[in-house]
This record gives sequence, C-alpha cells and structure tokens, in this order.
Amino acid sequence: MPPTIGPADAGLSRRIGSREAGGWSVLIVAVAFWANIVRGTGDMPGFEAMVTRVLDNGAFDVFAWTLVFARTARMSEAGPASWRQMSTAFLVGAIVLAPVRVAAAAALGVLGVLLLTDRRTLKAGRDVGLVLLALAFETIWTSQLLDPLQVFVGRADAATCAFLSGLLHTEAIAHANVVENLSTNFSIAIYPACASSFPLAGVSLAFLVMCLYQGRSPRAQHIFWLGLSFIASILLTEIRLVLLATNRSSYLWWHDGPGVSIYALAALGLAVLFPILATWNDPSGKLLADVRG
Amino acid sequence: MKALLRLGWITLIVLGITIQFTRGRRSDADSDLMAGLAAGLEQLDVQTEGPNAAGILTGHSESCDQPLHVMLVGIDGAEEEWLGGISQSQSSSMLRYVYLGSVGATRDRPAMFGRWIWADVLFTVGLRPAKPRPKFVLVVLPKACPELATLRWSVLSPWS
Repeated sequence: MPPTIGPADAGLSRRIGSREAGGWSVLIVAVAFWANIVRGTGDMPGFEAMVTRVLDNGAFDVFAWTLVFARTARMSEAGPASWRQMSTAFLVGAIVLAPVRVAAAAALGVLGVLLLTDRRTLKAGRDVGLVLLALAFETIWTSQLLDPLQVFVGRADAATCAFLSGLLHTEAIAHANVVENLSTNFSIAIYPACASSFPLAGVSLAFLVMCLYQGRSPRAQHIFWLGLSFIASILLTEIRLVLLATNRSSYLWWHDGPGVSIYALAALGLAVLFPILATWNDPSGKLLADVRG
Repeated sequence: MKALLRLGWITLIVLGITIQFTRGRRSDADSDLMAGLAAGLEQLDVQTEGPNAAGILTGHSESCDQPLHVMLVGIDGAEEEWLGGISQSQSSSMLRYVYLGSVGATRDRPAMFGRWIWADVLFTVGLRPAKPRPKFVLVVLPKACPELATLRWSVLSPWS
C-alpha cells in the first residue's frame, strides 16, 4: 500500500515528494549522460567542440531528453517518495560516478526499469521509462563493446556494396570488411561506425520518441513499421557505401564534404517518416491531449 | 531530512561532473602510442626507423641482419583483411601478438577483448593509470633470427 499524505500525519510533510525524487533521479542521469558526451575522448572541450559533440551524438538524443524533461513532473502519483524511489536516485548517482558511457547506460536502464515497474508510475512516467531504456540501448549499441559485432556486419555490408556496385556496372569485389572498386582502383574499409547496424539503435529511439510525441504508446503492430524503418536505414547506408566506394573524390564528398549533411538529412527524414506512417489513422491510439486530460 | 537528501543528490551530480573531467586528463596520459612503441623497442635494444605512411615501425636488432616490423592493429577485427595479408605474405616471418602484457604466437581474440574490458574497468575505478587502447601490437620477426622471438615483447604493450 503506497504511503499518502494526510492531515493526521504531519511528519510526512517533512518527507520528500515522489515527483521530486523522480526529478532528481532523471537530473542525475541526464547530467552524467551529457557530461560524458560533452567531455568526449579528446582534450578538455572548447565550446565549439562541445556543441559539435552534442550535435554529432544525434538529434534524437536531444529530442528524447526534451521529451523526458517535459514529462518528469508528471511521472508518478503525488505523495511522499518511497524508499525505493529515494534509494534508486542514490543508486543511479553512484553508478554514474564511473566516468564511462556504459555506466550512464546502466543508470538509464536501472531508472527505466524502476519507472516501468513502480505501481505509482503514471503514463508519463512509463513513457519516460521507455525512452530511458531506449537511450540505454543506444548507448550500449554504439559503444566499443559491440565493435566486433559491427565489424561482423561491416563484412556483410562490404559484400552487399560490391553486389550493388555490380548492378551499376562497376566492377567491385569484397574481402572481409574491405570493398575494392576494380574500375577505379579505389578501396574502402568499413569500420564499426560505418556499418549498417550502427544506426539501428538510434532509429529505434527515433521511432519511440516520435510515437510518444504523438501521444501513442508502443504497440505490437508498430513492430512491422519499425522493421521497415530498419530496412530503410540499412538500404540508405548501403547506398552511401556504394557512393563512398566509387572513387576518391566521391569518397571525400560523401565522407567529409557536403554529402555528410545530405546523408544525415535523409537518415533523419526516414527516421521520422516511419513512426508517422505507423501512427497514421491509428484509431486505438490516444492523443497526447487526451492523456493529459 | 529533505535538505540532507537534496544535498546528497547535488553532491553526486557535482562529483560525477568532476570525475568526468578529471578522467579526461588521466586518459590522455598514453595518447602517443607510437612514441610508447618506439620507447619499448629501445628497451629491447632494437633501433627503430619510421613509422612509415602505413604506421609500420621498422626495427633493427644487433643480433639479426634482417629488419623486424612492428605495427598497431585494432582488436575489434576491422583490420582483419590487412592482417590476413600480412600473415599470408610473411611465410619467412614469425608473428607475435602483444596486448596488455600478454604475448602470443597466434591471435586470441576473446582473450584480447577480455583483457581490454578488464583493464578498462580497472582504469574506471582508478586502479590503472592510463586508459587501455583497443589496439594490440603486431610484431613481424624474421624466421632467420629465432632468438628474436625470445625477447620480452610484452614491454611494447605492458599491462600497467
């Protein structure tokens, strides 16, 4: 039975509220998450470098945290915080003292699970919990821990890239994670961050955040659209790899030049498109306004 | 009580930020891996030249007429193709895979990955001064000089 504030128990007014405890938990994890990104891996950050690192991390991370903070005040029922809530705030605070991204992911996961399993959590809190878990997944997925997996996929990407180049009448062969364009005597190596699997966690996060912004909770039928979103993202990466493997000037244009922005915009467009299609004419979904009401 | 709790959480936030940025200075300590490699070779009385454009150091030992080659390779397998080429084309050579204090004649990928994770954990909790880099050292030795294989190659990538 959750504790409630009543006039008979004046002592409870001295206890911290459940919403405030939740807010502190989210704040602690958010600060650690962004401090780790702002800090980066190089020298101490200049302002421009800090902004670049934040933007490089992905627009949807900013979008996701905006959603989290917009709903933090409505995560749980009003009343004094439970020991579980308060100890979770301290636990995630202790976890993120380890200055690595994986620690931030663990803290995100712990807080996400708490929000999804606590009986006093409201819909806004469950939304926040899901977003935190998606952020944790993205953080782990893009960490160096999973580089061997991305390299493994990179080999399949190299074979696909060579096959697609062949369809375009360009002679190319793949060996391991290298694509060799025999027509132009140019080759590229597909490293972990270039593999088609790398953006998929970000695509999942984008899908979830877009659905939640539209007031829709994730549903089983959305898996189909999420799958299509994955396929579109993988195809886009393969097209980019074919363009990169064309010749040196094309590589420079698509890897270091204006092509980077074009690819980012295309990826963003696809990431937004599929959740919109998934929730289009979804009669069972509830609009955000309804939920708020 | 409320004030104490808030103070505790604020302390955790401030501590977290402080540790993040302090860690940055610690982790940069071993940033020049090539310089470390050259220094390690010097300890083994191997004179070095290079590195060349491909990042390969060439070394000369007094006990051997033929040169040896040393390079850094990622443990994630992304340079597998390049590595395969070296292994096949160097039939007159012996290979040594050196990573965080361990030396092997063959590449043990899970063991390397495990050492990297463990060293990273130790660094994170402050029990290791420098952040381990996910790159092992590949030493290509001429088969004609088997005595080179007995050198203490672990100095090129020491555990601590």
